[in-house]
Amino acid sequence: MTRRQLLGLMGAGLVVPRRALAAGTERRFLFVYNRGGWDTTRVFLNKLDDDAYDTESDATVRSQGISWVDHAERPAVTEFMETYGDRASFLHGYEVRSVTHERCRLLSLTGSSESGVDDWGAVLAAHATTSPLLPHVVISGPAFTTRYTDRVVRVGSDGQLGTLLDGTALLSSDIAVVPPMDAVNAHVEDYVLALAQEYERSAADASALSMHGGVAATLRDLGTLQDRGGLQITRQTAGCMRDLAADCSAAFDLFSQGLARCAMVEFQGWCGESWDTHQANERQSLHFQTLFEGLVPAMAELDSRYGVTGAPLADEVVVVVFSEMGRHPRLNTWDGKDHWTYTSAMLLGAGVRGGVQVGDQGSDGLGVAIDLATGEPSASGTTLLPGHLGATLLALGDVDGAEYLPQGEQPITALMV
Amino acid sequence: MGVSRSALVPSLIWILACTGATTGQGSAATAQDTGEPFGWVVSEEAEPAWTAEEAMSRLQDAVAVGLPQPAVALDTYLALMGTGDDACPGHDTVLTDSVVHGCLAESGTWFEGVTEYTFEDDVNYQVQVLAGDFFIRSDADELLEAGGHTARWASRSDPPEYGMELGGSWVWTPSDTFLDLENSLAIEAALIVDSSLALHGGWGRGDVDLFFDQLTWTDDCDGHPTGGLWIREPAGYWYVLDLTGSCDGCGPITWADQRSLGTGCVDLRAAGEQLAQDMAFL
Amino acid sequence: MIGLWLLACGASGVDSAGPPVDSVPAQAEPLPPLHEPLDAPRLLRRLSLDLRGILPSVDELDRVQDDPASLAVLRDAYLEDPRFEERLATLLSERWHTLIDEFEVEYFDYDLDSELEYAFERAVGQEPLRLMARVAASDRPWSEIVTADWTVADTLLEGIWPLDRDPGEGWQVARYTDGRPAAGVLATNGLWWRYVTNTGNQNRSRAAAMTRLLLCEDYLARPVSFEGSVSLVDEDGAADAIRNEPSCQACHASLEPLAASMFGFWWLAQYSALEMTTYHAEREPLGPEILGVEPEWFGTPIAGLADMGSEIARDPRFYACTAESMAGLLWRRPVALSDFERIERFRRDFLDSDAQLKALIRAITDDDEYRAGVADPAEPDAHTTRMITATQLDSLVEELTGFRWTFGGYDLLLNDTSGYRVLAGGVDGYAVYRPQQIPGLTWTLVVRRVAEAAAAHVVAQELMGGERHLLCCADMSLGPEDAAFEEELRHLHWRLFARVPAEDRLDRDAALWRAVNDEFGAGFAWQALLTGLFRDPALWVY
Repeated sequence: MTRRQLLGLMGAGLVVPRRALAAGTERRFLFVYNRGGWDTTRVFLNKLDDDAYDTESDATVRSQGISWVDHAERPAVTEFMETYGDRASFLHGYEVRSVTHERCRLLSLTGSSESGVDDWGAVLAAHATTSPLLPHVVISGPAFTTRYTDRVVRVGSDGQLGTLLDGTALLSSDIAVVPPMDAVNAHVEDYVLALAQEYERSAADASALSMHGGVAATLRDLGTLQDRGGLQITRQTAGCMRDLAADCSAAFDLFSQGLARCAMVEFQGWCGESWDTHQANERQSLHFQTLFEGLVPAMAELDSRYGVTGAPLADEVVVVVFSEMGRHPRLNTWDGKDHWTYTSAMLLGAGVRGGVQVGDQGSDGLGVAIDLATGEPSASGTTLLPGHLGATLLALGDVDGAEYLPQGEQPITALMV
Repeated sequence: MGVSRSALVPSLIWILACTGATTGQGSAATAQDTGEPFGWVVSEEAEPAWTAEEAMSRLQDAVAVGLPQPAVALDTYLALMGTGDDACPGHDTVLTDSVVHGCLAESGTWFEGVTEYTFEDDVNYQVQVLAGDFFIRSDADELLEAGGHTARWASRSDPPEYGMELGGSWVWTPSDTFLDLENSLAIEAALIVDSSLALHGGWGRGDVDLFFDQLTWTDDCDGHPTGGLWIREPAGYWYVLDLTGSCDGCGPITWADQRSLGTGCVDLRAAGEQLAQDMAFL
Repeated sequence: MIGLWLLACGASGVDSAGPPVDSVPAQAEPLPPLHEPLDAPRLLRRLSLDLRGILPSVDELDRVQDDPASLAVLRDAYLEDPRFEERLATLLSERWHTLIDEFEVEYFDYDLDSELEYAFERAVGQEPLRLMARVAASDRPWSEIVTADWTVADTLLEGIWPLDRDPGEGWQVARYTDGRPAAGVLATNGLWWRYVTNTGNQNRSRAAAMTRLLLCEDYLARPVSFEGSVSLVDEDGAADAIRNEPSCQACHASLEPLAASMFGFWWLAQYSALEMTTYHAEREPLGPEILGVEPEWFGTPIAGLADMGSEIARDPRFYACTAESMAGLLWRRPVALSDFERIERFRRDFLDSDAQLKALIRAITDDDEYRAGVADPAEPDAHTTRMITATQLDSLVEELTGFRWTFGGYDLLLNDTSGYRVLAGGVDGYAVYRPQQIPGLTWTLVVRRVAEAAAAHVVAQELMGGERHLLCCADMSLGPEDAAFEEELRHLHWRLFARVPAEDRLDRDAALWRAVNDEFGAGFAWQALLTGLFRDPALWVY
């Protein structure tokens, strides 16, 4: 029996793959990474009355479900908070213990500055109970993997994954290539899969098994994916930048089909300027406005979608919006703000307690220790690190974080329902 | 110095507040191959390329074109911007993002890049700042190109005070100014009219590199400055003419921060006087 | 990291008396065999892929099959192969991360045509890598990577940078004409365009990058916490803390003096080609002035960047780091503490050879860890199989078949703007810092498409009367019933996999050919068979 014949039986329901049966309602995670280091006092962290911070003189604090810093230049933020504020939580004052973008990215996503670690998305994806075909999809942005490299699927900055899947990638070649016909390919697929499985069976050691097992598994997954009709994730632009809402929509497509557990999208600020405002910190306002111009329709779409089981997708998805660092409380000589190791994140979605603000930064700019259970400042409490955010996400994903959090960070249960 | 400036001015002003530079040169000589471990690391004892006289002569020649000051850059920039039109570059004083890849004005001037320009003038101060990464070629094939910033300001105090900064890379060619060759600068100066002129920072022009170490002209010393004046040889070592406490433009010369080459002299009176005149632009 | 372990003796560079070379006895007993080694042909295959990026020829495989002792001779020949230099540059890029797809200055800043965009990006990023590879390939002491008064450049760089380049095609020795000091890679635009700084950072990040790359000392692996510091919110708080706070001084005491020697590369305008092209010697004195410290190499006063190169060349950590990093690159895995004894031997051999990188490579590739084919049961997690990288995929396929996947001036396996480098498990130096070690879905997909394209190309070229690269005996008239068909299969298995195929494998190959031929004809049958062979994991796993 060829693989295709087997799949034909599967399609008839006579042999039901574990994948289709076991689709459950485990939580899924969308990471929205903002590259460059955002100024949290523009939206999340209210320091309007603290002279230690340089803030906008004409900003106000509003509350609707949650309190945020509001400004007329940021109507999209206003719309988002008015609509989704009761579902959102802010985490303030966690310390990313580095000052460089590269290292802070790694710390934010893994809790460690060492190489050889996996990020939260990869870990969550590796513990997916439904064996999604594309466990952690990187639509854009960073990913850090070592043990779980095979769980991460990169889409490519220009949607290259789609063209590889459907074979149109070969049309872009200076040397003309006549792609093989599907009917011919079917024979080759069977041949290659058989070889791969044979190598897997006869692997002489763990390394060979890992390698050949990986090849065999990906071949099987590829076949399944192509039988589903492939994948269309193209790079869409909105004017001078990637369309964040479209990227989120692509993630929701994958979630709703049970194809992915985690997805990463990156927002580089208005027109890709980056959030790294060492000069002209007022650009942060534009970046926040543009970010939320994408998040508003993204959330609306999330609310309209359904998951594999038919339940609302919003009941499954956790959205994490973060940046690798914050910005200095004070303006520098160029009216910019330099790097600051304390930052904030926004969470909303499944399992997240809405309307909650946890943590703070003091007049010294430093994070405030909190009680993880209540979220209240506590002199005997915990100084927050990225690992606490990671522990929270892992807990939301029913993953035991002990193995992945060597410093023993515990979840911030104050953020969790 | 009592100079104030717009917050928009990219600031190197703290350089003046520092206590002064040293050559920062430790050992100019590296070890010979002595058969020690790392015997494959072979290097030769360095020697000065120039005599003291040669170094001073080169210094004198270097300042003959005049000391750098921003008027040339600012005036040339504004003049060239004046040859633009509404379509290209579409602004009197600024090159916006729309021109980052260039445009050709009806006058035949090519504008390319991005700049920021501010001019503020009130009863107390006048400040002019230009920063950017740009390229302007006139119809007559004259090129003004820069990546950096320049600024000058005047305080209408009594006595009047002036300041200037020039940083980055600049060229205006062909011209009969100091910008005729590609200049690389990180320099600033402050003038209190009829009192003092202080110049500090680095100036590279063509293949000559100088450093002005708190070079200060006052009413004393018949126009000779105090401070330090450095020149770099091609191998990378600096010759330092130390005019601390000097009143005649002469002082000890040190090579690579360690070897004395005796004494030497450079006449900077005319250069200082010219710079003061150039800086007093109101 | 293991580098820190190796400098536990406290070598600071102040005392240049050398490393503790006697830590390993001169007549040390060889380490016991670790794993079952690869057979000679497959070991040759591994060596060829690692040192040249291509497969061994049939003649070479035949030779080691008949005489395994000739392996060392062939390995040494590979080290002299012109491809070695390019391969080494690529290998080093996995660590140095300079082959990024975008710099702060772009091709249009030099009025280059858009079709040269990719060539521009690669030329810039390759400069420091090619310099290092040239030092190694031309048998110069490895220390010259930080002391050379030359660089290497192609014609594109020659046209845009102040370089005096030796005549000739490709990468030639060149010298900057803007007065920059003799400091090897530390004086290249290509390195500092990757590791940028800004007016506020003042070269500190570059100093940290330099120590990580050359000493395996990673400042940024240490946590940077502002807890307990004096107030950093004040305007001068950060500057004061850097100079006075013990927790800050733990790094900055040694970091600032390094950064102080780099101010000739301190640009005052970001994104300016004018600023970033040339060296700014007049800014050298600003380093000590702005940072408030004299240039030093871990306590030894230096005169600037050139002196720094000399100090690095005499720093034991430099050689230890080279040994450690090359081992990792050739083992295709991160080094561990358990590798210490092995790496110490490599370092010794390296130093004994007067710092010849080829000697180090010989030491590593002679060692059991490199040659492992099957893991010893006592070490079941040993890394005995490797996954081909995107760059090896590119060079291997081209050499094998003549097909190179390019489009619009881009090598599609070597970039991420429009290509598949990261999807194929490669390093982009910006978001992905380590090559993939386990196959993933996108890697398999890239391999598939490359295999399809290469097979189609072979059929179109070689079976339609064109010049032969790969095939020995096949033509469109042959089928499984012909002896030449089996001869071709055996030839392909040997060439591609360094294996003699079993009869059942030959039968399987023939069955594939027949199945497709019966439906679609010989041309498609050969395409299918070649595609299948090119997609055989035995080609991509080594």
